[in-house]
Amino acid sequence: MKTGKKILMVVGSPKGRESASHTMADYVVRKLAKYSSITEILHVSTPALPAETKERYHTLMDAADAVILFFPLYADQLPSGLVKFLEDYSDHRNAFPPAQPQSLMAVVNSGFPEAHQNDQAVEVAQFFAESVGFQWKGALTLGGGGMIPAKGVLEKGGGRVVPVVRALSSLALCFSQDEVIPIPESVIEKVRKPAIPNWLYRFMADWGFKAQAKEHGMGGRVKAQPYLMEGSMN
Amino acid sequence: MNALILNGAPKGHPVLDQAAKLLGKELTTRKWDPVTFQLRDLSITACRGCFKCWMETPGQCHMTDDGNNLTKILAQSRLLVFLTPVSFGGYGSLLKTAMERAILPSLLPFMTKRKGETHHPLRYGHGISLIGVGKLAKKNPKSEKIFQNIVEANARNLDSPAQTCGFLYDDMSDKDIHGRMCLLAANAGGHDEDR
Repeated sequence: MKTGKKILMVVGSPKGRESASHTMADYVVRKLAKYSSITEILHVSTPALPAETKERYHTLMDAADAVILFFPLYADQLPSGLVKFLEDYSDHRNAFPPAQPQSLMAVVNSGFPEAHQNDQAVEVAQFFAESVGFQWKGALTLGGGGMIPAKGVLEKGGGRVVPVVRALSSLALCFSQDEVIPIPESVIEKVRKPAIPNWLYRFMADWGFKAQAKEHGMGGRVKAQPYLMEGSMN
Repeated sequence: MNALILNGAPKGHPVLDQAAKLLGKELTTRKWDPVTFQLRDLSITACRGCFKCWMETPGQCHMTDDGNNLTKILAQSRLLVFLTPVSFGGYGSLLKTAMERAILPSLLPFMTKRKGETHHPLRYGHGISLIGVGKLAKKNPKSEKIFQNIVEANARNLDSPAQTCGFLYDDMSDKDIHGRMCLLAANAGGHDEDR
């Protein structure tokens, strides 16, 4: 059923279009084509958005029926560009209160295998929603973000992204009715479980980092300490 | 031993500016050598997530602005202090921008398990104690709890020997701010034997 909802994906990755967050947002946009006539992806990769971009984004946020924040965990929180965007939007919102009920969700991915490391960032997103008058509809928290393709199509990520694809499909279903329904707890819980054992993820990540270091001709120099204080012991 | 103080107060937050000054003095009396940065006066471009500081110029960001100076002082410090207005329970954007630039090059790309969680090993091999100071208009237990959880999570990432956090409110007197900063400085210990 086409509901005609306006749904915005706000991607907060500093990597912009070449990020796991964008790949996931792109997947949701394609799924939502069934239910919604208007979807758009906004990128807030930096705290220094041009004034006209910021103004356009604020207008789109005001008019949206629902907003989904997609972002990577950065030092246990939202990336700085997204923090600044939410701060500015909150100021804007004080002057222009919403004309219609609006919903907010979040999809957070951590490069570490444990999904629970995202929990503080979700609390911040929820606090933002409640502070500015969005109805909070829940969050998907993913560990092992390194397994999600940062380019191309999410589904091409193979078997290891199947749980993510399923969870995002369920999230899209939340928009299939007239009223946006919260993400079901069972979906939230299921996607928190690691797709592969944590030790294997760490092993693969380290192997990948070593391969990249070799590719850049760095080898052991990736452990360099350029700012070690003279005479100090580390 | 060095202590790096990052004051993430935008213009118009006199309580945080006063707290940064008083905390610096208090740490000095406790034999720390504090270096304070007023972040609003610096030029720091946000981290782009390119990870060149891990793979191409290890330990240094390729962007040539004030960010690398923060990384340098952090490498030579055993205590890190954050002062920031609280944004939806988290750090304000000014501090968040600076901490991403300071901390990311200070870590190694690899992964290790610490206290049951995965983290990156520390490039300089030593943990860094952490003090988080959040400023709110008035008391807000929910916001403060989120902030405290974030400081604790950062402390786990930095393998902090000690961590503590405190809150300031708009209507606080200098005496109250001073009392709070004394308490935080007293809890920043953990390296007495090194100093």
